[in-house]
Amino acid sequence: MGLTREFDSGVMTTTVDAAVNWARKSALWPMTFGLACCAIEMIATVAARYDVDRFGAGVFRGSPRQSDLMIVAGTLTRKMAPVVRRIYDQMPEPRYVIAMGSCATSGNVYNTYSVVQGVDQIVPVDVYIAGCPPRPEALIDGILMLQKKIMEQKVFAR
Amino acid sequence: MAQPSEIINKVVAAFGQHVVAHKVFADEPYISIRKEALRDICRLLKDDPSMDFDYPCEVTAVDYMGEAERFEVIHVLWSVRQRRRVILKSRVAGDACEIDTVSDIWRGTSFMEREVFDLYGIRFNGHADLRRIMMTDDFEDWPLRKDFPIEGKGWRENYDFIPVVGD
Repeated sequence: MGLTREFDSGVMTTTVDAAVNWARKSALWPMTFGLACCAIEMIATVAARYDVDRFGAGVFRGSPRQSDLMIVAGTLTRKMAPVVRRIYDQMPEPRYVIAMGSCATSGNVYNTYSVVQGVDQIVPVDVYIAGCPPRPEALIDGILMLQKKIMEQKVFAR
Repeated sequence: MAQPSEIINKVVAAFGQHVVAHKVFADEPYISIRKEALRDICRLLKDDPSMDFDYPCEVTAVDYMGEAERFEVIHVLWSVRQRRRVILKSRVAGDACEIDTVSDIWRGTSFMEREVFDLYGIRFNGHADLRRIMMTDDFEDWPLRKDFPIEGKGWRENYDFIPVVGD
C-alpha cells in the first residue's frame, strides 16, 4: 500500500498520493448498469459467492452522480451509445470505465450496422476484460488491475 | 376442429380469384393471396366461428430481391379454441411498397407491422401510428433489406453526441 510505519504506534508517514489513491481505490462504487448477458456475471460477482465487496467495489449505486466506476457490461448498440455517453458525463471525476466482455471491448461477432465496435469509441476505457461473458473471477481481476492503476496515479499532477 | 383443407376450401370459395396458391404442409394450411384481398380474408378467418382465428402470432416479411414482386408479407394466425394455425402470404412489389394494415382487426399486430415497416420499409396503409419501433427516428435506411450492407452505412461510426471540449 505504500504506507510505511515508523515512530510510535498510531503515527504513519506516507505521501498524499498514496493516501488519496488508497482511499479512492478502496471505495470504487460502481454504477448499476448492465446492457446484456455480461450483467448477469456482474450480478454474480456482487453476490455472496464471489462478493466483490471484499475489494470495496460492491456498493452499486443507482445514480451516476454517486459512482466512481462504470462497468460497461454487454453489447453497446448505436441507439444506446448516446445514453451511455451521457451517463459517463454525469459521473463526477475521478471516474473510471471497465469494458467488460468481448462486446464492450470490440463489438465481438456483432459486426453489424447497429453495434458500436467497442465502447472505447465513445468513452475512455481503463481496463478491458476478455470473455463472453467473463467469469466473475475475470471481473474481479479487472477491478484489481484498475486498483493497481489507481495507485500509480499522481493526485495533483495535471 | 376444422381440418386444414377445410380452411383452404372456405377461403377459396369466398375469395377464389384472389388466392394465388395454397398447400397443406405439416398439417397446416399455407395460402398465398393477392394483397388487395388481405383484409377481407383476415376478417373471414377471424369472424367465421368454425375458424375463429383470434390470435395473430406473427407478422413478418421476406425480401426476395430480384423478383418482380420483391417482398412477401407473412401473417401467421392462431385459433385458440380450434387449436389451428394458418399462414397467409401476400407479395408486395418493391416500387409500390405498401399493403393494407390488419391492426384494426387484431390490435396486437400493430407493433409487428411497425417492426416490418422499420426493417423492410413496407408501409401499412391505414395503420394508426406507423413509426419506427427499433431503429431511431432519424435512421434513414431499411436494415433487413438484402441490398443493405451488414456493416451499415456509417451510422455506427457517427458519434455526433460526444461533447466537444470547450463547447
